[in-house]
Formats: sequence, C-alpha cells, structure tokens
Amino acid sequence: MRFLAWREVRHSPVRFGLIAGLVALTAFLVFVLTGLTVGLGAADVSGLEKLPVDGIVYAKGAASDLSRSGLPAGDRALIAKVDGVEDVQPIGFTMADLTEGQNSVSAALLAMDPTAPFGPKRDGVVLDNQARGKGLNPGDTVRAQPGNVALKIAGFADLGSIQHAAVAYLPLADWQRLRNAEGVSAFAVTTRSDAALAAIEQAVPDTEPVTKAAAINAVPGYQAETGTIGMIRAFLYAGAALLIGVVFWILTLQKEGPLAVLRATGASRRLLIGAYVAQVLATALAGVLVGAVAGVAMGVVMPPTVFVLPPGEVAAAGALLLAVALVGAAASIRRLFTVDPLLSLGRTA
Amino acid sequence: MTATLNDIRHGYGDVEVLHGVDLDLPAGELVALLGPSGSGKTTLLAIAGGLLTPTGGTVHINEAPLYVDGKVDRKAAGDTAYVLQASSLIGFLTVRDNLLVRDITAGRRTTDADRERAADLLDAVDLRSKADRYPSQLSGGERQRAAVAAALYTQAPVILADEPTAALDRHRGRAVMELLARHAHERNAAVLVCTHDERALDLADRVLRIEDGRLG
Repeated sequence: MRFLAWREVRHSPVRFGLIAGLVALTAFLVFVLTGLTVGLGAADVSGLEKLPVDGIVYAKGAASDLSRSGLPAGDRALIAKVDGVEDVQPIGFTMADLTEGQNSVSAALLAMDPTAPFGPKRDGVVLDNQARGKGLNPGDTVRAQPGNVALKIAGFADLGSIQHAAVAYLPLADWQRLRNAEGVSAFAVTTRSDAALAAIEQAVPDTEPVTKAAAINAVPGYQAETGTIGMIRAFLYAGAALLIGVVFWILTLQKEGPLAVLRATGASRRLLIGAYVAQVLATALAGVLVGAVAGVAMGVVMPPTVFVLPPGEVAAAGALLLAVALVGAAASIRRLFTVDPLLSLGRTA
Repeated sequence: MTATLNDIRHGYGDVEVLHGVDLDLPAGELVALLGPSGSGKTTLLAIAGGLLTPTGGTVHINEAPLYVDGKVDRKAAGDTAYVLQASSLIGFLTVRDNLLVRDITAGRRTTDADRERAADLLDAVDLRSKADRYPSQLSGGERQRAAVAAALYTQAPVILADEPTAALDRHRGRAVMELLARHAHERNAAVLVCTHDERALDLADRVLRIEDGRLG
C-alpha cells in the first residue's frame, strides 16, 4: 500500500506538489479566517469572558446590553437574598475615551466595588495590556470623556476587550461620579445553579438575569461578526472538499490504465483504495502543515487585538480540513471499485 | 499445472466472436496461437486469465473452475500471469519495481532473494542496466521485454502472452520466445502465446490457428 502510494508521489512530485499547494492555500485561508474569528470574537467579548461569574442581572428591556442597562444599587441586597445566590457584585459600564495630553485610548470602563473578589484591588484605573505603548503610563492622570472626570492610571493587567475597546477597571464610585448617577449598570452574580437566575427574575422586579454565555452572545455585533466569518469558513471548508475532490477525481481518471494493470495483476481493491487514501492523507497533511505555518506566521504580523490563533484552534481546523479532504476524495473511491482489469488489454468490452 | 478451456463462447452484443473453443494448455508446454486481427485471440486470452467472463463454456486451472456463478475465482486467477499487448507496465514504477510490485499485489513481502531474481530476469531480457528507469524512458521493444520479465517474475504456473514479440526485431523477438519456452520447460508452466509473428514458431511445442472465433 505504502509502496504504491509513495512510488507514485515520488514519480510525480510536481503534480502532487501542486495539489498540496492548493490544499496549503485553502488551509491558509481557513487559518486566517480562524484567527480573525477568534481574534475579533475576543476583541468583542473577552472582557466579559474573564469575569469569574455565573450570570449577569440586567435591567428588564435592556436586551442584555450593559450600555442600555441601569439598576438601582439597592437591588443588590434583594438579589443576595434569593435562594441559590452566593455572591452579588454591582458593575458599572461605559464606553469612554481616556485622554492625557496628545495620548488617547478608547476604553470599555468596567466599574466594580473595590471589595469585589475579582478585579484589581487598587485605587485608580487599571487598563488592559493592549493600552500599553499608547503613551499612557502608571501614575499618569487621564481624563475620561464624556464626563471629564480625572482618573489616575494604577497599572496594566490582562483584562481583555469589550466591543473592540480595551477594558479598564475602575472603582464603582469613580464610575458613578463620571455618570453623575447613584445606580449601577448591572449585577454580576455567582450562583449554585442556573435556577437561581430564574428565581432572581421572580424575586426582584424589572430585572433580566442571564447566564454568562448568554450575556456574551448578546454583546452588540458579536453574533453578526462571528456568524459572518463562520459562514465564510463553512463555505471555505465546502470549497476545499470540492476542490480536493475534483483534483483527485481527475488524478484517478488519468491513472485508470495503471490501475487496470494492477487489477489484472491481482491487486485487490482494498490495496488500491488504501494506497489512494494514503496519498490523499499525505498530500492534504503536507498542505495543511504548510498552511498552518503560514497562518501562524500571519499571526506574528497581525495585531493581537484582531488576530488570535491558539494551538487548539489550529489543531481543530487542521483536523477538520483533513476530514474534508477525505470526504472530497471519497467520490473517486467508487471509480477505484469499478476499474475494469480488462482495460489493461486495451479493450473496453 | 494445466489450463483447460471447454466450449468457450463469447460475444459482444449480437456478434459472437468465439464459437465453442476447446483448448488444453498442459504443464511444461508452450502453445502458440496464431490468427489475424479480430479472430478472437485476445478475447480468448482474457477469458483464460479471468479478466472476462465468457457467455458460455468453462475454464479450469488445474481442475479448479476459474468462473463460479459468473464470477472469477481469485485464487484460481492468481495462478495466471499476463504479458499484455498494450504494455502492461505501470508508468509510475521503475522497471525493477514493475517486477517487484507483483509481490505487493500478491500480499507478499519482497526479500533480497526476490530482488536478486528480478535482477536475473532483467538480465535475461537485456534490461539490467535500465532497471531504475521508468517505462516512459524505454523504447517500445524494451517495454515489451520488461513486460515479459514482469510476467515471468510472478512464477505463475500459467503464463498468457498477448503479442509478446510484436514490437521486437527478429533477434529480440526470438530471445523473448526462448525465455517463454524455457519458462515452460524448466518451471513446468503452461504458456500460451497469441501472436501474428511466425518467425519464432519453431520454439513452440504446439501451434494452433484461430480464425473467426474457431480453432483450426
């Protein structure tokens, strides 16, 4: 099996190289889109993903949008009394520009109580690492606009992004001063089960509790963005299957003569199919590996805020491409089953 | 080992090309089958080797039926080997690998002894120096001789050769016929050679003629 597969590849390196090249180009596109999906997704919601909570309680009618949600601070005590709720933390949210002289950064301000078990326990504002290198340094005083409130930068940490803006943690009191309000945007809750979320809705009027996953999916633009790129990826996988299928179909047609001779010399269908599958796998694997290397190299060049290609995603996309290659190439297996050894005599009857 | 064909009939559509052919191929004998184009030689050969199920008649390889319920018995067919008219070499294999691939297709592991035997056979057909070339790098005559070597490499007890000397000059054609005759005699094989070429018929143990699907 390997003998036949490898000998043919060795005899036609250009032909198989071109096929591997086609697979590599397709794989590269898949990896680039995967990197964009993960990167853009992370830029939209990673700030929420990093919150170690089970659910978020929004104001009813806010459509799980922190910008549109507003609740009285007093609801905290009501939520805390609900059976199954372990912890309640108020959060404030505002999109703002933080400016210091000529330096400015767009930030998703996420305000918390300084006693919250998560979040930085420092005075002032803590910015996500992506704001480094934009002229802002710890100790600088920035002005948050709108609101024109002065905030001192306490430091940088890995806080993620929300709606493509770097997350900035700040004390709830500063946020309330900025908004000139006493309420909060929402409450982050830790619960023993999802049933507690339904209980909150019953117990506290005008609230809309959702799981963290639902809150992430509700971030404006997140589903549209990932859905569009996901659809392009799906088409790309389908295109890859078709492309590989057609290429191997033509290849199989071209070698009908040698296949007939092999059948006439007693080669079993199993042997021919095994050699064929080995060729498909080897060619696709070579292409996927080249595509993956190019994709990872792309990640080095692209900004990490829009392109992230984790090893797990590379492995998953690579495995899916190999599976797709096998599916595409499966169409030619029927041809291998039906090749007539009589063709080896130069006869078709 | 012998091959016996009884009352073989075959047709393409309404046209019957073999009309009840009886043929015995005893072990240790080279039988030459002469006939013009379209006389049914290649069809008979394909039927004898299990490539084409006849519409009537029986084929036995050493008393085992080659066709059972219209299907080829692979074990019986495994006792036959071809030298094919349209060059039976595989283009992506070197000349040497075209011999050794017979081991692979038969599910055997190739040994050093096999490689030595392949080299000896290529020597016998004057192709040892071209063992690492691909068929496309050989002349028509060289390809034909390589095909003969590949068939003999199988050590099949029944060898079926379709025009094995067609592309060869007198000297090389005779050398190939000598090789086939020697294989028949020394290995006690049954060898059937279909040919137009009457130049080396003296090497055949028996000469038969076929015309319009009937043995004369």
